[in-house]
Amino acid sequence: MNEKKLKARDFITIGIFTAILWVVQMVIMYLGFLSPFIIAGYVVLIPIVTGIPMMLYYARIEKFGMLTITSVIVAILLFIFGMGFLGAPICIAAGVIADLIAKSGRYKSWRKTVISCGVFNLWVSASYLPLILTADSYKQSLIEGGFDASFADTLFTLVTPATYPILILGCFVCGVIGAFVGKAVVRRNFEKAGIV
Amino acid sequence: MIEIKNVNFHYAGLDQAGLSDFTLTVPDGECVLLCGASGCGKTTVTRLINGLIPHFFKGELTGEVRVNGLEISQQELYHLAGVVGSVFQNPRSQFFSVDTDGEIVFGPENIGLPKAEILSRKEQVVRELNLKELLERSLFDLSGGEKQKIACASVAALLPDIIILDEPSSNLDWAAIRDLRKSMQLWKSQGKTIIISEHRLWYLKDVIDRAIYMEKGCIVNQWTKQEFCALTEDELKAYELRPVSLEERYIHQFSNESISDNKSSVSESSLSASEDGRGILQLSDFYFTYTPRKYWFIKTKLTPADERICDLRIPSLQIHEGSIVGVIGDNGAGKSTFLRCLCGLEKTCIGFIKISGKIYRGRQLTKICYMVMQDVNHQLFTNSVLSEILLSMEHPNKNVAEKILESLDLGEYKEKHPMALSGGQKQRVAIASAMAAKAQILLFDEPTSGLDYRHMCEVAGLLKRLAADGKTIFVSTHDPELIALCCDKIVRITDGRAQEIG
Amino acid sequence: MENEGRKLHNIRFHLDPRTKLLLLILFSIVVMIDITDGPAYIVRTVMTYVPVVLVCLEGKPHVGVRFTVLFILATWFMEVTEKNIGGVAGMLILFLCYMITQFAPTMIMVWYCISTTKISEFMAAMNRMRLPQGLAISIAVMMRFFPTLSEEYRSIRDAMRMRGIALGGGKVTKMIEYRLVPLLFSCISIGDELSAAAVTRGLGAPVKRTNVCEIGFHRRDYVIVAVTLVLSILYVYLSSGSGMV
Repeated sequence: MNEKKLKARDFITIGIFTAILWVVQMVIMYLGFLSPFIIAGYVVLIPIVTGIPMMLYYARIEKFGMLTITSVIVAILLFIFGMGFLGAPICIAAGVIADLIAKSGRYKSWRKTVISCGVFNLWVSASYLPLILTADSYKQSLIEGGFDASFADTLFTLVTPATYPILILGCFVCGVIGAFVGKAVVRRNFEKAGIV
Repeated sequence: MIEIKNVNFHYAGLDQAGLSDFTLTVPDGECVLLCGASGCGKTTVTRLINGLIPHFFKGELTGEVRVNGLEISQQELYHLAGVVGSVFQNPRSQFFSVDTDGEIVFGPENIGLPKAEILSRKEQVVRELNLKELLERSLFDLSGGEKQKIACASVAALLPDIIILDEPSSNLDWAAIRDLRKSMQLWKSQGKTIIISEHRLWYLKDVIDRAIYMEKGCIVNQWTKQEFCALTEDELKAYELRPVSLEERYIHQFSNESISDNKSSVSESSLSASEDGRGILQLSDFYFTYTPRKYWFIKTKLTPADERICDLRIPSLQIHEGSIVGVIGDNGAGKSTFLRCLCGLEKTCIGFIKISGKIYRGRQLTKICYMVMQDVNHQLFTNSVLSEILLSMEHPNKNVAEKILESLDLGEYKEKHPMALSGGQKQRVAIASAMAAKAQILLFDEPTSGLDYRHMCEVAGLLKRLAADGKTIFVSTHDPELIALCCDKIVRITDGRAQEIG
Repeated sequence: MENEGRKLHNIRFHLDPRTKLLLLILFSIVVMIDITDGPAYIVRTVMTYVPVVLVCLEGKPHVGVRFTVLFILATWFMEVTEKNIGGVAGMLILFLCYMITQFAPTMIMVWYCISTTKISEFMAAMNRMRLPQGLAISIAVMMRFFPTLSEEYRSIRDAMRMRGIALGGGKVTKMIEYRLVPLLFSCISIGDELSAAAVTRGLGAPVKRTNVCEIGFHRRDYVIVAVTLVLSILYVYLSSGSGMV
């Protein structure tokens, strides 16, 4: 009867997987520091690489709320790192919807899991929001900071208000690809070893 | 009072380590030892009592388990927290806080005791277990033994009537094990019931009241304390248990006290080698520090003159090729550092090895040395045993790989996932990949921690076989029995200095 | 016990976890608005030094010094690069320096908050703010897990070095897989053992959790918050004045 409620063990699982998720995406972010082109590549890189821990996480989820809490924590972290305000609500919304979709498949249906994973990865697009909303001033400050205009333009050809819907779609598609990649790795390793 | 009546249990998805028709009654204040080979079900018994079965580990359970009159299966785990306390095997993974103070009060805080009560309990536990100097520290900076002490304190702060210990000594050195025994003696004098599942028996013989020997989920034999102490080495061997008094004698022989008289002499004896130094491994200049001198722009290289600030200082050591060297010493004395330097993992270490006139240093050491780590899980990367071996080969060759696996009795597992194997098998996979990489020097970091007698003997046999094949082996260990079984030479490391014994 | 607690607070300049949270929020606002010159930039630089001062007060002046050197170097490099080095290389250096000056303040603030907050203090603060306990447990586990992850990762990296597969045989996918898969295997087993140890000590009991550690606002909390708040408002005002929100 009380099996549906989250227990201490579930909260610990949430904490661990959120930590992994965040560290993996931070590593990719650091790569982004080296080159502005990778920043645009986040849409592809983050969902696909985090697909591996995410699929392992999905395999351990049986109850509603775990994805939601993960998204809340990610939102808090995004907020702290200055991508908050608009990004955080999007992130939480993505988490709740992803959770509901996965729940409708009782966390077992593979089709629902894939869609859910795609939706969850919309949080990645949230981190672009400040870049887009402040695009003009950001670009200005880059140019003033000594970057030449063509460089700033290259950076912003990929990330502009006009391409934002494409970015969102990209997050979803790459989230789905990430789900397949992750599932393949989980099947090849964790299921074979009998851990999941 | 613990009553376990006619319990049958099978882990979901596992066909071993269950229990069949298990019955045991433990009166208040008794200290019971559960022993037997790994997989005999002793850990399962501890989990029945602390409620992890059926609340945490799923499986089929029939029968009745009562603790102080409470039916375990009807209780929530948090109700049991104040009744049964548990100390587990791995000190690294059982703490929740980051600081020691928070960890000690973690349990009482969870069950919502009043604040004044918690603080007085904390004070009491700190006094009783002598933890004053461990307070206000980060748990990540403590040694395994210190972490295990904090784990004991955290459990004791809940004032449980019953304390369960599940192989608590696996990762501890001898001094830490003696401390653990002290804690157990204290709890015993307080009238607590203690259930301990353990492979190492030497430290328990004065503490326990009863020993229970299990096989395949059943009790096979029971001894009282007197009967247990009277068992001869041969009888214990027949049960595949570790020798009790023999081990203690070894420990005495190998540890500080017995050789304190010539403490100052750092051994630099040279072996009577043939003129060209063939057949001899000459280790030189193994100096290393974790706290290098401050530098502005360019790192100054360590030199033997920096000896004073070094955590490892071994100017010279000679080893016969194909011998097994036991490396002993307390946790934190520099054993692991020595092994890490030997296989070239510490880049700032300037040491080099000379074999048959050829000098290996730095990255070349990584090529000829291979370390089997204590947590062997970290060094298995692929998804089948065979591909694990192929990965190590310079020129992957399936036939050679299969031959290596065959020689280590792994032939039948070659398609399995390495992580699906048992601990001992994983170790052998790691050894197999070392052989595939053509390593000449094998390093083992605590290969027998947490192993039962039979598996320990297997490891010893394996080391001997590898040595006979011409590999030189360094094995860091706290296991006196292993040293006695296979080591040709013992090097004790104290404070970063090496000293040869025996 | 009370005495000891007070002694400790005297040695270290200890802030309430909630104060730290508020500082983090204020800082996130500052990071969101980029300014590279003018009076606002001066305010920004001053603000950058708030966490540095806090870190120094915690008894870690070397971290503060290291940061200052990095910050000055980055600023200086930016100017030099701007004038002398062109092309792609110049761009990359510029971008790196820009990122350092831009995000370093938040980084050091986050580092300060995580490294100086004990799990128990954090749980107490969450409790006071009436946030759900489950969320508090998850975040607490996460905070404890970052150092564990780095420990595990270091062992795996060593093992890879010994096997000579640190570069995954040149394949990017293998490079990622060989790191991530063993890491996840250990995380799962550590997670299970951690859960078992935590639930046998009563974690998740449906009672009000006690919090032994003292948290509360002191004068220092008000001072720090007031200073940061004034600086933030000034910064937002100045930057909007120069027409760059």
